[in-house]
Amino acid sequence: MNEKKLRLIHTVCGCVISAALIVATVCLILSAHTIYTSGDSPYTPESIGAEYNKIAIPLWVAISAVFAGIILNIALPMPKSKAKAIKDPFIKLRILQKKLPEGISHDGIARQRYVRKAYRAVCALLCAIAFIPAIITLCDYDSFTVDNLTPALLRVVGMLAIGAVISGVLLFALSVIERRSAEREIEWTKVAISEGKKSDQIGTKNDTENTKKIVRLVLVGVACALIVIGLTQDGFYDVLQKAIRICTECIGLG
Amino acid sequence: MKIKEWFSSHKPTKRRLIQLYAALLFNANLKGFGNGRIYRGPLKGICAPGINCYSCPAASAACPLGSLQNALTAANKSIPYYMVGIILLYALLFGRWICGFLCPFGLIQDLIYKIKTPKIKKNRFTKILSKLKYVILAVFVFALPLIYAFREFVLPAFCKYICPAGTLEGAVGLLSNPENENMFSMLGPLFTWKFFLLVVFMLGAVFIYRFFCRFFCPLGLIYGLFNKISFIGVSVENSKCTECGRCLSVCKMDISKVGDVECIQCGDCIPECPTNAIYRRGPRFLLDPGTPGGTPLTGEPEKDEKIIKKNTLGKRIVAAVLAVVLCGALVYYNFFDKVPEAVTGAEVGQMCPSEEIPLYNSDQTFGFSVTTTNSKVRVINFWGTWCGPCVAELPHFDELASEFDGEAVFIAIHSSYAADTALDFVLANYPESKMLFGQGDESDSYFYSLGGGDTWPMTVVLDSEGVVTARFDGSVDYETLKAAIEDALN
Repeated sequence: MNEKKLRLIHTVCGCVISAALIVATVCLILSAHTIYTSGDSPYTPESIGAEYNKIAIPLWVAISAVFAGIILNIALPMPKSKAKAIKDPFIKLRILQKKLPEGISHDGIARQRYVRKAYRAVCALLCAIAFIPAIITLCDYDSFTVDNLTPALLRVVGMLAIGAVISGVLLFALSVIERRSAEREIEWTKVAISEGKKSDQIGTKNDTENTKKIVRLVLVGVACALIVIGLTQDGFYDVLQKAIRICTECIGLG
Repeated sequence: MKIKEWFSSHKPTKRRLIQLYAALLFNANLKGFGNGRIYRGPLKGICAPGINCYSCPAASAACPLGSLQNALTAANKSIPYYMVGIILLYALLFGRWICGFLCPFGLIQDLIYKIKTPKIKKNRFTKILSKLKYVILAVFVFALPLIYAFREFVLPAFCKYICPAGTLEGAVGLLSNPENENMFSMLGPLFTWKFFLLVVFMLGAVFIYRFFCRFFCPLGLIYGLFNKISFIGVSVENSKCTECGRCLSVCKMDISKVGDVECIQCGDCIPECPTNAIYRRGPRFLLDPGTPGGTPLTGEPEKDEKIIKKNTLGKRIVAAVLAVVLCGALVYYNFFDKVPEAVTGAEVGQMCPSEEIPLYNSDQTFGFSVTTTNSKVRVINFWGTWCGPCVAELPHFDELASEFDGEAVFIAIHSSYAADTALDFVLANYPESKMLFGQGDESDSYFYSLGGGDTWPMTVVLDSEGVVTARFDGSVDYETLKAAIEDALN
């Protein structure tokens, strides 16, 4: 079988497995939601098992698809693909910068870097603002009393979800802008190489191994000292007392 | 024949073997899966380097991230020197090599990623998303536990709201055992949320390499900050590097250069480097001779052969020692560790076993005991200042103690650990409470004799004859407890 056909088979198989896994995941989430909203609390293995029995087919299909994928991979293995050409403009940029003679730059390069920094700062600020309501609710002591747990958690989850959606949109926009900016910088770098303008903005810094060794040794000494101080203050038993008891809320049981 | 070919081309790499070894070593208490109980011996005070929930039935050591949060939740009482020291030491010795080689949850994600589906490769968006770890570290690991610590409330926020390892290894690990059937009664909104997150993380790991590690893991971030100076790791010889970028295109993590914060030191880039500029650093006897960090070769065949033989012998000795350690751990945890005896008198309808536990009231008047409170309905709650849900439900007990004053006795027994902090806590928070408080070495044995497993808090309601009428593993809300007391009174 030629490579093209083989790739097609693997791609189709991969898509089927993906679809099966996504369907199974959605079913699992919907079942968990149904169990929670059914109000059958306190739950038993039987009541939960009955709900999950309803989604047995998609779960088994997903598991079978995964195993089918393994068998396909054994029967018709894919040849190893070669390393693909670099598409990331930032990597291209770094390679180009290496070709740039030392001390040579262009005004356009500096401008693009400022633009990227400004966009990043604005984006970081907006993302932080998007999460402020959720953080305020999380820091509110009264939100987490046992009686009030469900509505408080739902409120926090909702706020976190809104923050995440806003941040996601912002970050996606930022990634597009950064890409465009890097592509422009590539152009300017090419111009800079050809023009050969002098600048002191580009330079490299090499860390010396000896400095690293000294810093490492000093910090290892600090870490050991902290451990010894901690041991004298029963730090070991503090870890032990938590580790040998199950705090049900801490592992998400409830 | 094809299967043989497939196995020869897919035989486990050294990295995978180390991952499996670490996963087994840090989860050596395999009998826990059989009896549904966690390991409770003294070795649990030692931290494993990677994320590995200590509530997993098989866990043989503590989780560093959980322990760090726990230490931070007590930051109003003591500075967490021990945990900071341990994490700093791990970071300096290994850096994010731990993520690539020692973390059991990393192994789980690596295996899931092997499922043949179309993959989402790293891009600018994933690179930006990888900064999310900083927010999670700052807010959930440091800020929230610290803020709540100074309000006398235990909140390990990352474990509670995010950690998928806790849900998979701890919660699901415990629930999957029939012995822990009673834990199903605790499930509610929190578990639904954590289960949702777990499923999303697992699905994410199918399509995106190390989905959790790259975007969410705060422990990986802490270790990553020390990548450049860690004892074991991956380095680049700048004089040899041609900046061809092949290492970056091979790497599946969101690195900007080899060995930065995002690098998990897996070493996949080493064979790809056309100029051999990338090398491993670490103990000389473990590195291949002739490599930048290893023993230098002389160029004379005879001497070089000796050096290589010596190096191979060194590696074999290390492998043998590690194998002995693993066997020793498996034998110790599974055959020599004693599990607490099976429960008695726990079930509803059975008589409560008697125990002389000294009790005191909010005036610090001693002289009570569980047995001296006979002839009244008793509500016995087992709690700990270290346990968030325990502290959170105490106000309900206090309120109900006033409401049923004269009809029922409320007894809050602190676990034997950290008992010295219990009295201060009671005096500060419940100076006029009608409850009786207890603590002492006997409290844990009483907890087990009343049917307690390993889960805290636990509440037992006894009628006036000492018969168990209700039992709640985990938190109990005001209304449910009130109804249980009224039942016992009738």
